[in-house]
Amino acid sequence: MEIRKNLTEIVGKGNVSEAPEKLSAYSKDTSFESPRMPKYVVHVENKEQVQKIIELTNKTKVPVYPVSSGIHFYGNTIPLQAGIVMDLSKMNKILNIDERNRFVRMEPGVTWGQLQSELAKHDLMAICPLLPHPQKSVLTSHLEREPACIPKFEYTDNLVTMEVVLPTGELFRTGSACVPGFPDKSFSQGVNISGPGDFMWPRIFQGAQGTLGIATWAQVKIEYRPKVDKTFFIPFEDLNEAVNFVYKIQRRLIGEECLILNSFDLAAILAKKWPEDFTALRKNLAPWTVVYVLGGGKRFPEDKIAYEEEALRETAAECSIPNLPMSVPGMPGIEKQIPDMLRTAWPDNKTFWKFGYKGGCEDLFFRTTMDKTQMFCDTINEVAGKHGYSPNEIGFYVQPMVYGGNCHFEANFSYNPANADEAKMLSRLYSEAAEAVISKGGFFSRPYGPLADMVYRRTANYTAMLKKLKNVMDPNNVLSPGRLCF
Amino acid sequence: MALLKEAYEALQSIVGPEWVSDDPAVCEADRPKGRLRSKEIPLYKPAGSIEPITTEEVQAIIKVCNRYKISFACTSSYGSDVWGIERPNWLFIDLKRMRKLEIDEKNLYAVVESGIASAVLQAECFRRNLLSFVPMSGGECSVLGNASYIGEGAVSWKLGDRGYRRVLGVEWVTPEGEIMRLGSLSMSDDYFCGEGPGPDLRGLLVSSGYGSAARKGVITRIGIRVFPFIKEKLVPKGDAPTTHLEMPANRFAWYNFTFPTRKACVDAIYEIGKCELGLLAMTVPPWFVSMARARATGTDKPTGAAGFWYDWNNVTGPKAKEDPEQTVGRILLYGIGSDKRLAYEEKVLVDICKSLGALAKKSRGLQDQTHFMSADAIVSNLAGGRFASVIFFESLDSALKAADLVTENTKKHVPKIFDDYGTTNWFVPFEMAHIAKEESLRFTTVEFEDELTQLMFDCHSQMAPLGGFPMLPNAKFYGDVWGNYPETERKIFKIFDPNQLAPF
Amino acid sequence: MLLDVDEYKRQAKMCVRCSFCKYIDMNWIKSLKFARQCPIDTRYAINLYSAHGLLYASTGELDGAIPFTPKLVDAMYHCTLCGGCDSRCKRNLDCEVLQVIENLRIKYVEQGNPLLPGHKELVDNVRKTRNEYGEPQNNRMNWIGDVKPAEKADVVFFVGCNAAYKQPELARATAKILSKAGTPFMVLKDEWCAGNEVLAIGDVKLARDLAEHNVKVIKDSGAKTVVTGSAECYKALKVDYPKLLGKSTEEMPYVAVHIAEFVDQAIKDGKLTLKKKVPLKVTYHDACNLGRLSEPWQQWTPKYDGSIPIGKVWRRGDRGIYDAPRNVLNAIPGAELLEMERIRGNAWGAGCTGAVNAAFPDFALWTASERLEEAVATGAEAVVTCSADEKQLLAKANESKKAGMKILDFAEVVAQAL
Repeated sequence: MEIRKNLTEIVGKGNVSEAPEKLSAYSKDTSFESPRMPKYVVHVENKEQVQKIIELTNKTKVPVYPVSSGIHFYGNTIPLQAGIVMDLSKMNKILNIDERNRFVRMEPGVTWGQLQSELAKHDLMAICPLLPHPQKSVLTSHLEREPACIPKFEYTDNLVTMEVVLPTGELFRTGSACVPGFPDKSFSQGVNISGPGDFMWPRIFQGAQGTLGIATWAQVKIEYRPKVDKTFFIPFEDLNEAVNFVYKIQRRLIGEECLILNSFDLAAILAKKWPEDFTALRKNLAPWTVVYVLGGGKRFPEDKIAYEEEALRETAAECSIPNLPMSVPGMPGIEKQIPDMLRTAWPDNKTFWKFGYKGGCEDLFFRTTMDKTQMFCDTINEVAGKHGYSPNEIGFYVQPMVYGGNCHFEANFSYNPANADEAKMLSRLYSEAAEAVISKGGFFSRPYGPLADMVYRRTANYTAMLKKLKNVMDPNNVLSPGRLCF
Repeated sequence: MALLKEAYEALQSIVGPEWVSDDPAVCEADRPKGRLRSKEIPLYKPAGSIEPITTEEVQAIIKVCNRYKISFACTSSYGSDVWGIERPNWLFIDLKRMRKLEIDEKNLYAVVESGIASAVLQAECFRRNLLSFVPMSGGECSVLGNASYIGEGAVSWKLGDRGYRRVLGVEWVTPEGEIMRLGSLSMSDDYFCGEGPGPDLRGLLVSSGYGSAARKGVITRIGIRVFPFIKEKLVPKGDAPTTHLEMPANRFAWYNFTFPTRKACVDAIYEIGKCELGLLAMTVPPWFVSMARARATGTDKPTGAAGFWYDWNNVTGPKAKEDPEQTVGRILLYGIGSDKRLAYEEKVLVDICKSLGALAKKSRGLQDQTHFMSADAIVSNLAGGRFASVIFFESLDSALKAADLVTENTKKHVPKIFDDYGTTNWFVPFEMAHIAKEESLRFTTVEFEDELTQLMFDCHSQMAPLGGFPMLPNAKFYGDVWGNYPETERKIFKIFDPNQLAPF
Repeated sequence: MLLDVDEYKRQAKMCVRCSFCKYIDMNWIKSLKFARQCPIDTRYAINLYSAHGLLYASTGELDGAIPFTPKLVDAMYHCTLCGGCDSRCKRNLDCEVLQVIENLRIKYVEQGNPLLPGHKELVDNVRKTRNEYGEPQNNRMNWIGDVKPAEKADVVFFVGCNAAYKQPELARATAKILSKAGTPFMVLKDEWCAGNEVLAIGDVKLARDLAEHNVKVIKDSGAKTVVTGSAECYKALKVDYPKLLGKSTEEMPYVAVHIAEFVDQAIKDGKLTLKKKVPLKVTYHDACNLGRLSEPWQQWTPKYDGSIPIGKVWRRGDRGIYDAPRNVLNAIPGAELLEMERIRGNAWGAGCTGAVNAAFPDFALWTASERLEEAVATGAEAVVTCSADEKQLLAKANESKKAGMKILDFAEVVAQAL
């Protein structure tokens, strides 16, 4: 009761809840993680409230689990040791759009849809992961290092500076945002990621799943949004051929979005009517498609597209690819919609694309090099087959990163969440597939849920160092305890 | 002071007697002079010097240091002399014997040990139609040492801010002697990915502080990104001092553009960044013109320092004095991937300059003396024998303000520090103008080196309270301007250096 | 010392420790394998064994911080004095790197410190028998065979110790070239060792004695031009002698010409035609003494306006003899010139300079072996060099590595084509 009283004093009555249905909503997500009920759900509206709550948790040792997005997929927001779920979604201001330096500073509650539509007014865009859920927090995407669809090197490492409430309650600003008087009364515009001191703080907070600090704003790079685009859907029978093509074309440093999808995932993305469109697309689409978008530059956009298209066709000829379709059978006009689709969130009036097939989806994703993707496909298919899961129902998504230097590899397993047996089977399949991936060199750089244990027991020194760091930054272990290796 | 006999014998047993020495001359040769540091804090030469060749040897050495409480510091290339050690009886770990290099051409990364110089990696990349990154501090700088320290260079315009953007998997020996492997290396023998798992501990290591000199232990091997490049070769020509690379005309074009003010030039650079043109771009301070002319050969006119001053005093300097605001920008347009790309970039550049009231002028020659291989890094020492830079990394607009502050401060030190008439603020934008370096080069003679130190100190200490952000955001130096970061940093350093043996 | 103390100190302190001295010119680096310039740095990897290490040690010795320790003596005498570091540094800095290292040795000797055994032997030989080998002085002319020098001519052929005593065929080849070009030449009746190695060791007094003697006999002969086939003698005549005698090269009473220059000019003048086919893939090794170390010496009394040296003409290594031998090799019918990666001013020394071979033959052989490896990598069948000493050492390396290359002197190759 005392805690509730304190929380109410900090955030106001309407922002504190112990209602069972509310607690239940935050106790679980779409992952297989077992539900755990928090004691309180608190909505914060500013950083002072965040700080006060953290100070309170340090006094009482009641843990806090921060969340920003309205939907969660990987179990990383489930309160593993009860405590307080701190929802930052009401902190949803876009604080500053710096057109000149091409940065945007925003609070954690800003969603992709909100941000991209605002930036579009200025002919700008943040670099998007693949079709994020409409309730997904942009800041969280960056903290989670979600791979972007545009594999230009210049467009990566977008998270630059942050304001963070540390687990001790101190307010901390990273990089050149740390200067006194930032942002209004200082030289600095918060564009330098390093320091203060001898560390690169955003990297430490990224991937931490809310265990080392709570971001109250972040500044990320944004880019010019092309006004003229041309989209290609290049079909391949074989993933290796698709990869070979991507290796070659990325060497030319042309194009914007470049992604490889199997027919399942592409059909799920493109289908407007379920199940008709999906079924038809699966019949008509090649096993693999490279979606390649050429974007016009700020000046003479058509000239840029023209030379890039010529280069694309030259590469296709080198790979003996007979033609470069700019459309998808049965989906007239989709080529004009794709660039906008890839530069914003999934529409909130449509079922999320991953849930279209069976209502639920579990994602297994990791990093590897593109030349190993076929091997991982085969491995995952084999494991799936053993568990009675049809490989034909697995969505595969390969996102080349940084000119094809390595890639994000993702397997999407659709399932009916209402079917407990299917969920159990999938959970077993998932674990076995993950172990198989690790044994073959796949790297889970973002180990959520059960993957964390699989990873951290194999990286003894890294784990030990993380724990030491956690001990320094969060001596009372109040922030998201139980996550990762903590 | 000398190393303890038992410690020395232990070190000999690790590397063999040939590779460890406490000879006074060896130690004197290894002594970092701590140029540009305050003379109030005494600095010490090493008590011994050791040259390991594997990570395991490094680990064993550091464990001996922990046993006998010997401080240590290291270098890879020894490309600078601005650092110094404030503790006596320290061991110098020289990593230059570690010279393994492998390149994964398909997946665009190289694995390098400490002793691989940047220009060497670049040369090996060129053979494979790849492009690496050579820092402005010189092609002889260690890839690893530089990338984990600052690692900015001319092609940061296109290839990313600083070294941290390119470092992948890391092998690191902590000051306690633990071998840490970061990124994908933590789980397999592969360097392709640097992130995680989970929180990215590269954030502890790869920074722009005094990250070198083993401040946080010894990084022995890293994966580093390399980039696609053209198929045509850059051909070396000439004899030193005027060597250069000939560039293919279908892939490159140099352009200059001149604006009446720095701000106007910066406006143009911002727009060029939005249009994503070129491989490198920067302003060209008039000093650089004199430096380039100083390198002319033959005996018909002065060369070297005399040549520099001849040109500065008679040709370039008077023009600069007359119009110190006029600013020249320079860009190397880049026609990679398509035979028509260069023409496109030229068209856009000309259009940008025209829209801003300037002329984009194509340079006649297609040579590069220094950007690809950084052959001229130390030419700034030419004018007087000593130079220092006041450097800021922030936005271009922030850099303009920083430049003004440095110019004002410089006036107090003229003529001991040479007068540049306020023109040597060098703007080097990175990442298509998302961020920039402002470097104010200042020259003096060996005799007045302390003036440079004082100038740098003045600029940095004034800058921080005004909300400027320097190149080296050393929390220890700036004290509580940035809150209690020094304390936070100290606590974190203690995690991996409980015996406090690494230099701090 | 050859540098006055203030100038020595000034130059030693110029080093900014950039480490450029360890690599060839950055723009010329083509591979990991052949990127390095400095043999001692490459082999020993201790900073003392490098130009910047030696300059820092020089400063330390000058400031009284360190004496001439065994390691310092070892490092400074392992240095091949090839001048690569000097040339690299001078791309961007006014710093007389090589002169500092030379001066360090001279200071060591002048202080009466003991010479290394190999150096002592060499110096004693030169002192007693006027040649490096201790061979009887009277045998110096035994190479002559049926060569007929002129009694009086404008040109004198300076043979050198190695060609006179060890490889007389090279001397005869050089003589044949001169004859074929219609150039009468004398030989000195009292030719002494040129003293290149003696100066390198640091015995300025003996080196000066040799210089004074040889200059006198050349002057007394009436010759205006001295031709030699030895890069070491060439450098001694052109650079070391004026340096020792306080003059500039142009003030000497003769002009020193290497046989490579002579042939190149003779071809251009129509005096020599290379007619015979020499079907051979060759690579050319730039001997340091003919290359970057051979720029004319400019005597200069230190005088500064602030930091700017007044009236100094800098020797940065770009005016060495690089083109002449290449022009000639390209003119030989049937010969194909394949270049190594480190050429011209970037050449890797073959281990014969700096009196290193006398004191550390293993290291000298290692240095030569490294160069041989680079030659093999070109695909050439033969290495051509303009130095009898380097030919000898490269041949030894060739044998020890079983590399299977032909090691040829320039004069030999040209003589084959006449």
